[in-house]
Amino acid sequence: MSEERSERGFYVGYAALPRRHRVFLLIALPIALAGLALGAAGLALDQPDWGTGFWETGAAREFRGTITLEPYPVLHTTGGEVPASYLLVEMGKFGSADRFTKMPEIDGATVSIRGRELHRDGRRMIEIDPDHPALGPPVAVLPADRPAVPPHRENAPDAVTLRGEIVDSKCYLGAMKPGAGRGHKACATLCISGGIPPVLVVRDGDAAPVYYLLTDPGGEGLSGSGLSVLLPMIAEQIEVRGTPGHLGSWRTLRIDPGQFK
Amino acid sequence: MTNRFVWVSWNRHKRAYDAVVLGAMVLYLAVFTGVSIATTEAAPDPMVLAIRATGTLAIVTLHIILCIGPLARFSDRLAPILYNRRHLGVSMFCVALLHAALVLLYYGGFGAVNPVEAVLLEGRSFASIDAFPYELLGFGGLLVLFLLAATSHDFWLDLLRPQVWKWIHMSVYGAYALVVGHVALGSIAGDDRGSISFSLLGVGFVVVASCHLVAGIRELACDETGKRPLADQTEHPDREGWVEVGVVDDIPEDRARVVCLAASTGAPPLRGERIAVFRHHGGISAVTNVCAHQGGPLGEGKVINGCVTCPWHGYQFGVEDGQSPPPYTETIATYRVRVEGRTVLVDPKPLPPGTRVEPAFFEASPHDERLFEDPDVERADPSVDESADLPLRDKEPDA
Ligand code: HEM
Ligand code: HEM
Ligand code: FES
Repeated sequence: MSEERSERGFYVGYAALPRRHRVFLLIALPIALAGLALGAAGLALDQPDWGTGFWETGAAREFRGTITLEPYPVLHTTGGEVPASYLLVEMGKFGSADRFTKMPEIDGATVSIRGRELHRDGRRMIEIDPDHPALGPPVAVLPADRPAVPPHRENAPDAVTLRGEIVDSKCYLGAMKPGAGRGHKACATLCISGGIPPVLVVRDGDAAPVYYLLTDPGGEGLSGSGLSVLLPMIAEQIEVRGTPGHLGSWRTLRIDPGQFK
Repeated sequence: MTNRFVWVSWNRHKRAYDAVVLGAMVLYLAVFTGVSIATTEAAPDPMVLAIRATGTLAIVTLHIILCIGPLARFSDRLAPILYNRRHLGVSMFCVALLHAALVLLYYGGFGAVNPVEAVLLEGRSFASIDAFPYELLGFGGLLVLFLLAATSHDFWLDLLRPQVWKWIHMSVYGAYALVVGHVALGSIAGDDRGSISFSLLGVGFVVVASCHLVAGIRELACDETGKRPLADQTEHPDREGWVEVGVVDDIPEDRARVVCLAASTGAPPLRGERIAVFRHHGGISAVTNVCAHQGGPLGEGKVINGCVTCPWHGYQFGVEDGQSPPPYTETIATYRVRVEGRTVLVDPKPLPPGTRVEPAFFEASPHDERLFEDPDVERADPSVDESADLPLRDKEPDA
């Protein structure tokens, strides 16, 4: 036994690599690296779906339509193939309510808005371009050559219970992919507390998900303490009770934040 | 000449080690990114991809780091992996830091609240698993890793003493627990990731735990089975407490036999100090088994150029005096030895570190000479004054 041991090379970091160590490394290292690559591939394949969110790049475009401010600022267009309702948000993790509280008279007017589109599964949003020295302010009221078309609004009489995940609409629709799940929780919390409209995503098997814009019981945007109660629920699968309705092409859900207390 | 040659190859090892670590990390990131892009129709979000790639790489590397210690005890072929593992530790800290920085920038940035608060606290609750700020666990793990990386330099080792330093290092297991919690309560519990990640986390834990268990059991078994015999301390009137170590022929040339003294307090299986008894040039010398650097097992080392050379990082101590060759100043405890016939006896009372002890010489038997020569290691030319060749080892800033 003693002899066997002494015949083995002895490794010292600063001396030449003994032959038996070299042979071992030449065999073991490729195997270890292959295992590492395999692990990387396995973990990569195990990631959640990235989703089909889209965020327009390049120069900002102009969108025309009717703006409504409650529950959240929305631009309703009729120009395209189908009428579309665009949620309006600012750059970064901020909603646009602050901008429009300074101009309440704009509610219901025909406007032109410069911005970039985000969309996913037919739900749409515009990120309003910032003020620009050459292009001027991004929101302009257009002369009413024809009366503004009020958007479709309705509310169902009965409350329903839905199971889904509250996401921040901006990231989910395309600002970040996948923009949902617990990995994205901190970001979604920041967005929603910054005024980005909260949306409930309801999935039922393989059917296309259904989206509900969440409002308070009076149909106004969630804010203040009502919003704070919601924050810990974000990014989790939860049950929500509320009254469904429509605002343009968006479904809405009036909820009582008190149910989460 | 030996000196020069050795110096260059020391550099080569460290560079090769770092190159392999870097290459492996690049390989991981490339495969992760490539597979992610190849298997999605729409392009993945590059920042989220980077967050996931660095996060998973960091935790994979952490598992490897945790296994190196025990694995190196299974076979000395793994010694080259242990040699420079602090660089692996620092590399993994850098990857984890990048992961955290990207999270703070991307998920925490662009908002109304400062990024740290946004990522670690906003809208969270410690009372619920769902709303628990799992990022905080990652942050705690990162802090511990930072502590390790920051104190990794040998400067801190000297300042804190190896015992304290090693204690600090044991907190790596705390970091491991925090990071496992971070991932388990984060992406995995949130259904973001599927069964592969969950099973890998479990497999990782089982591998780490069994490596440590098996290494620990083997360590104990060594003492039991005589590979490291418990020294016979039974009173012997003419031996004045000296203990019998075995016979000269049990000890290969330039190698050691390790004996374990019974613990001074407590009954077996409590073990006392370990003494490494070396045989070199027809003489027997005994030193402590514990390296002055980081407590490496000197008895598994080898006498090179008249110095006991530690198997972990190659620190050297004169086999007769326990002193590192100049310019180094580390010292280890030595023990008095004597040989009766071919039986080796050691005085179990350690001498102050660095005390010179004359080797106990024994009569060479015909097959002693050069029988245990190792063809693989450069040997000093006996015609050269040995001490002139010694200051070889690395004491450069290491991390
Ligand atoms: C960054 C500078 C680091 C240096 C200088 C370093 C080097 C060392 C050394 C040489 C020891 C003591 C030897 C021993 O008892 O095994 C040790 C203990 C340990 N270190 Fe580090 N390490 C560093 C960072 C890390 C990091 C970041 C980790 C983990 C992420 C880590 C994991 C460990 C483990 C698992 C042990 C104890 C296990 C054992 O005894 O084998 N080290 N480290
Ligand atoms: C300040 C410190 C840290 C913060 C804020 C943080 C934050 C996060 C966040 C937000 C995620 C979810 C990412 C997503 O799915 O998009 C995540 C995932 C992850 N983190 Fe960390 N982390 C930190 C430290 C660490 C450390 C030290 C490690 C490992 C050593 C680590 C390993 C991981 C892993 C493996 C994942 C899973 C990646 C995935 O789901 O693809 N994290 N971390
Ligand atoms: S423990 Fe580092 S050289 Fe011995």
